[in-house]
Amino acid sequence: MTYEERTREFKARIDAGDKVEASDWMPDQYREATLKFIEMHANSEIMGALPEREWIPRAPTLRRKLSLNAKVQDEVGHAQILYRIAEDLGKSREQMFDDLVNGRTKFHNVFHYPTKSWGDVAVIGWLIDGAALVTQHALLQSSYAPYVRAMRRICAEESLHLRHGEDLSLELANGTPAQREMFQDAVDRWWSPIMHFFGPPSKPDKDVLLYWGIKTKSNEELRQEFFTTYVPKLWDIGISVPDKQLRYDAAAGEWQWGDPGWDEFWEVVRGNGPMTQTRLAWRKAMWDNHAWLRDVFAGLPRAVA
Amino acid sequence: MEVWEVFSRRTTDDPLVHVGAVKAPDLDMALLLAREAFLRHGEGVDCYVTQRGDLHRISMPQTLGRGTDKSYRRPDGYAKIGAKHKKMREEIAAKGLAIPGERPPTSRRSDG
Repeated sequence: MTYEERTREFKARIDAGDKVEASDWMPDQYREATLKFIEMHANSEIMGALPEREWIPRAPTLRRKLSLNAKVQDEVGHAQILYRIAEDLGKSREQMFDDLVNGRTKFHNVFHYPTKSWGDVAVIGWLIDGAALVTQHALLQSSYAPYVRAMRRICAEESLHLRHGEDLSLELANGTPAQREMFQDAVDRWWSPIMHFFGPPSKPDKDVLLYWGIKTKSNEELRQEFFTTYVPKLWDIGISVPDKQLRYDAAAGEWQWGDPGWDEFWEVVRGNGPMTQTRLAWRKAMWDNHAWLRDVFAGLPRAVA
Repeated sequence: MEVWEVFSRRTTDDPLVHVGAVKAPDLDMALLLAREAFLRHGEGVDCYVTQRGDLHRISMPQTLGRGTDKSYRRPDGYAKIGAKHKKMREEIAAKGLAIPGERPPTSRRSDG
């Protein structure tokens, strides 16, 4: 069979809902797209732990400190699971680290921003994790089986995070006028990064990830799902969203929203976000500080009988 | 004769689960017996065997995750979150502070 024939057969398998295992034959384009996507996901989990981590020492109570600490540990754990899966697609973890800290690979735009108040921790925990969960739920139907199995576990942990984030948010929204204001301010600042998180409206027929079933929903479908779940919840507790054009069109069954502008998004994607270099420096410092452990693993002498 | 532990997954989306063990003289026979013993009704999509001696176990002490209150690591630590939101929604509505605007049917929300 020629490469083209095998590729056609593979595509037919995917279209029929069949799942791909790491040991299966796959076209180069499938392998590359899956690796790139999962690597970016892994990068985002580990980089996403950093903005929240900054608030562990400043958490207002011991309980909040413990729960935030546990959540950050979960996010780092997700990165470990995902890097392992990416490695099986043919790229070493060292290379993935090197590409990340040198700006050759990406991580999600929302983790390039500063966290200015405890309100930001609430918004990240509820709305950004909520946005992530909307996209991650859609990945449970992915064509790459090892990814689906990882996502099952990750989604279960993420729904815990969502409750944690909603709990934090309600506490602030229900608190003193200053706490409420702090939460509203955080929503206002994070709204356009959240809109950017879903990506610009894209052409689904040109999306290689949709073509191969690695992703199963378009940017726009996911954004609409996010609005439907979270906007009414915010409005109901008297928290507004800084998009004057945002409204639900019952006749069309969809949300109309205002274009947040994409220049800032592209700048961030290029690695020029307000905190990009600081966070990458942190990532590098952690990696360097733990070099001794990798050395021990690599050179561990065998036990003498 | 070796004891071989048998693992399988129900669908490709599921994790590998231990389903039992067989005794067999070699790998081919172990796979054959495992398939016949545990998967002949279509219980799973694949079948793995490994020699019992290659499995290593660690038992989890009772104190792990239980010595102190770690409910914040589990969903039940935030069990009443839906009720909390509902209560606040009612209070905000009573004060007339809810943001106006048409809402989609609640059945379409995805965080339930």
